[in-house]
Amino acid sequence: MVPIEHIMVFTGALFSIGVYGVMARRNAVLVLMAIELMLNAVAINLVAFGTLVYPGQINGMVFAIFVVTIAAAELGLGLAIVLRVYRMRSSINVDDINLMRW
Amino acid sequence: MDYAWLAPVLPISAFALNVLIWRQMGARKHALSALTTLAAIGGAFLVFLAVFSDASAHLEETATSSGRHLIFEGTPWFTVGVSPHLYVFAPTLVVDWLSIMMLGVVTFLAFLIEFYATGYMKGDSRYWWFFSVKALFTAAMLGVVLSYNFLLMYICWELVGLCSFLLIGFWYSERTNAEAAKKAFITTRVGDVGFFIGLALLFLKTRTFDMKETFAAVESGAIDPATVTIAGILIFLGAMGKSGQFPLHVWLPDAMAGPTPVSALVHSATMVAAGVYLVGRAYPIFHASSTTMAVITTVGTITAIFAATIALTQRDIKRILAYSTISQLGYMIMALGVGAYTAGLFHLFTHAFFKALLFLGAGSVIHSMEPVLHGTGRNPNDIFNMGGLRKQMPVTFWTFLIASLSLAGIAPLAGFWSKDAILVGAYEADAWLPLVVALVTAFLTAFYMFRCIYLVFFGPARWQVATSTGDHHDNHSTNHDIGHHAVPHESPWTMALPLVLICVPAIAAGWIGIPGFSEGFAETVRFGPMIEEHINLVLAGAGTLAGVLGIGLATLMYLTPVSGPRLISESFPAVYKTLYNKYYVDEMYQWIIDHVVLAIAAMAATVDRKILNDRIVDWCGPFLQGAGARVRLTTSGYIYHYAFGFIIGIMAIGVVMSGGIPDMRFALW
Repeated sequence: MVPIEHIMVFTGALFSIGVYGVMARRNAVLVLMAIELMLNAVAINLVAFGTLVYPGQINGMVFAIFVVTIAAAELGLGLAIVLRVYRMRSSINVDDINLMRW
Repeated sequence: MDYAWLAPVLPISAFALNVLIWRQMGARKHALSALTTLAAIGGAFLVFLAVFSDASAHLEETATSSGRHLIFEGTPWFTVGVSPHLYVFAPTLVVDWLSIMMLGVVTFLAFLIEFYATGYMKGDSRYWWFFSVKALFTAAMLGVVLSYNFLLMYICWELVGLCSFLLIGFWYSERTNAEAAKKAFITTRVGDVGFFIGLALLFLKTRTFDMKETFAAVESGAIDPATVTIAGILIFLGAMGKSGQFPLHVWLPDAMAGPTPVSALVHSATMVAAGVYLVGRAYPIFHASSTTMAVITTVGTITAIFAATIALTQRDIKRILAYSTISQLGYMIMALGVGAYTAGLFHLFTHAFFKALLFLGAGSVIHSMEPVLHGTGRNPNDIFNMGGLRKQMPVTFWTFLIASLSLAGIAPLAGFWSKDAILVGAYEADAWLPLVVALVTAFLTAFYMFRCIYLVFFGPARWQVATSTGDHHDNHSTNHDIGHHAVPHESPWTMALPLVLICVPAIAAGWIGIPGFSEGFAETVRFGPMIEEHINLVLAGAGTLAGVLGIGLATLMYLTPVSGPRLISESFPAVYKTLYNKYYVDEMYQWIIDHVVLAIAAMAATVDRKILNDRIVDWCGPFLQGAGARVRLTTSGYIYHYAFGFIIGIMAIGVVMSGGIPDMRFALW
């Protein structure tokens, strides 16, 4: 069995890459992809800890399935928004989408 | 006996009926209001008669020092305080000889004065309102008299003050009347604040407003003496305000601005009697402290002589009577102060009758002088505009004369017995200064009353000068009766009848207090064990002599037209002016208000405007605007700025929930 520490290092790295992607990328599609990375890190953590704490049960996996489902829905919504923004402003650069301010 | 509560409830119901229902009745409201009020006060008088006849059989002897009484607990009104110190307020009433006496005085005089007012106020456009307020006034006074709970008494006490304000300022379209009403209200408020603080002080110690429990606590020594003294003096301040004691007497002469029936009621049975009654009712609190008693004696003594000297020089007939009232109230307060409890309240009892009679007589005189002097610009209240009226107004003259003799303390009229009781009380308390002052005041009283009588009813008819020189062109169409018979005439029977009826107690009210004659007053209205009263012939003689000397001097100076009075006033102009201007007390207050109160007010206004407003309030808006302008820069609109804040926040929550960075560990294993 893979030690839990390994999994934590892996998911931590994955999550951090996602955070970096959200912060650093200008392209809205890439930002959405980075969000997917963070969600996947969480899903892996759920499976790992679920197996560790409740051996032989599937609680963690069920949660992971939910996360994947919601991620898919969210991505669909996000891409639809990106598409609308592109139609309006001919750009999907998040620097150009700064209307949410004073 | 348990129907005593009807006495205040009847008039207050009349008030409600008048202002809620009769008011809608158009022109009929005047007659309806007057009838309702008269009926209600008449009913209250019947209640008094019933209570009085039942009293001897039903009053219970109790351990307390205030004699036999019955207490009625009412339904609780409200509860205040938190759990261990709950106080349930219930309107408690007391029937003892003191309250029965006042019940009789108030209802009897209020009824006759009301009856008199039906004639005196005839034609006034707010006739119905006059009678409505009178009903409320009577109810409030009966409430003060019957209540055995300080809070209930205070409520009624303030109602009395309110009604006196409404009645003194009844003709408020004239500025002086409105100001007199305001002055009466504010001046008595000064005393009432003291009263209220005194009550609060006692409440803090006893956790009750019930008089029985409060008196028991005071008498058993459960409250420390210092508190009793301070609370006593503060409560006495309330009595000073209502009873016009120096230096809170200034409102009382100005209260003459009201219609004369109001003056008669305010200065005999209600308002001013409330103060003396309070001293009598709360006597255990005052009696427990010799300091308080000394204060009461001092205030009463000063007031008695102070007001009597002012009355010597006044020209307005109602003002003379007003200062006489202040002086006599000082007498009562002084008697209560030296411990002559029965004597002081006895004087309250007799004084109510003859002073009401004097005021109604004065009202009758003014009523007849008004048409005579109308349009001449001369004051119908000024006794130097009267004279020789005894031929025109025989009923008024004789009743006024009897009341004056009674006030001057001439045997066997009512005033003699009560004045004598006070002299004996002061003598037995070894209070020499009050005794001397009382005798001097008796002399002055007789003098100024007969000065008034000689100027009003004897001598040349000075009002005739007014009609002969009076300009008939000024009042040709409005008052044609002036031209025809510009002579004072006797008042209508509705005004004359009460004069005659009040005359009876003004003569005879004192007889129930004749020492050795009956159980009467000394047995019933008393504090502590009954004192065997005995007549002191020397004092009685001295008192009568003072009165006779006063009358004699007045006869010498005013009956025959000699220049004596003018000679005296011109020989001592400073003394005359000081007295005529009432020792400049009003001017002193005005100076204090102008230079102290207004200066403090101006300072407070400066602090308010320059510091509170300009520096603090005005600073709030710009400060928040500036702060907002800076804070809003943090909302940049860039998603990654928000995401950064979001992640930092998540991390902070994680750090806090895992118990801080050094101990970061996974609690699951």
